[in-house]
Amino acid sequence: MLQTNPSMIRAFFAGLVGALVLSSTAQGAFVTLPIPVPLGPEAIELIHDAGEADDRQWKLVVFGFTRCSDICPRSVENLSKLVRIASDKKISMGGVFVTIDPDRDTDSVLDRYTAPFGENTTFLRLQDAALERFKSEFGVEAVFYTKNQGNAFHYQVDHSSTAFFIDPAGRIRLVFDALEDVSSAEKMLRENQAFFQ
Amino acid sequence: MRGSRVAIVIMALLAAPPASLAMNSYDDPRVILSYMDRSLDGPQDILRVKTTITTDDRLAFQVKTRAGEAQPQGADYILLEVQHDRSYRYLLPVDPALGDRVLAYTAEHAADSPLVAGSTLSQPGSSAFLAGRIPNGVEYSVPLTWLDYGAKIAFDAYTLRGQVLPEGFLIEEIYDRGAKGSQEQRLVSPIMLLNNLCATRR
Repeated sequence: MLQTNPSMIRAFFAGLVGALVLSSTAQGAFVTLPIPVPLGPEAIELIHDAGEADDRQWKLVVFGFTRCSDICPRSVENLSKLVRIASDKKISMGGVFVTIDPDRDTDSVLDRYTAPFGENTTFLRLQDAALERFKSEFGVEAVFYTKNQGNAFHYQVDHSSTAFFIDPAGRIRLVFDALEDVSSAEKMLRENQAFFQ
Repeated sequence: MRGSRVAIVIMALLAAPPASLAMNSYDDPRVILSYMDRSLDGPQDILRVKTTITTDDRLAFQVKTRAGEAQPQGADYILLEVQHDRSYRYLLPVDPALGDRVLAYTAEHAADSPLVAGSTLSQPGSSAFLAGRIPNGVEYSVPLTWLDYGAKIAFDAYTLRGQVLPEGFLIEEIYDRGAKGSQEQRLVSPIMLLNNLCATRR
């Protein structure tokens, strides 16, 4: 027999209110960091090694996983679009898709996933502690649901949809939502090229 | 009985969050959700503390309390505490009639200056924070330049009764705390907070 009790009801309403509050916070933001945030040497080296060996190259970094059905394809498409615009504006920039699911996103899978977006969009696959260190540099969290041996294909991962502009010195300069703030990033690339010099 | 089963099914369906919201709300660095406490007057009962980024690039902390019939008491305040390189405390009277002057205090370590009844906040704080009233609450904000990316950050809010004395601010009674019941404040890196604030999905 199903029974309700006060703690169940409290938990239900707390969860519902939480979801509503978080829905109302989900506005996104396009933030130019007033003080650039330097990445650690390990992260800088990894980012430099991803893509072209050009010390003057900016990087546009997004996190995701290839089996993500909705958010990640759009965020990589937007990343690729911004990299193309940068190229048009003679700004040296490479896009980097960082997998948060290296178990399933093998190098060959990632290669196939990023290839359609052009040679200026590449991937970074790190594992275990190296991935955790890299994620922490960007404040990225990922939570896996229903990921287990018996469920290799149908699982969901919560992670932020944030994109990061990294300058050639390895400093985070811009943080924005890869889905909602692309027009702001595009405007920045088209109208404020001095920022990227 | 059948009605209660139907109610539970409906509750379960409503409670299933969309995938983008599936991460535990209580782990979200952007917000503190607080249980409603009907034993308190509305303006004393904190419902949530939410962070956001304003259009002029300020980090804002919105402290929302429950709407209520009760008139604000003259000695009641909403306090925001931000743990960063040190502990920052800001107070604004609940009663708008008392003005919008923000009281600022600080402490090297929060543990050295606990926020408990009978304690006095005596060390004047930085004036970096601004405060303004929002419906059923207060919004404190600080420029993003204030953030030290080498130090972690946590925040909480209190409603309390107190008074300004020559030697500082005396806390007479604490009514509510945003993170009441939590074991400890969650310290996160500023970049993690920004990352979450910039994203529409997580």
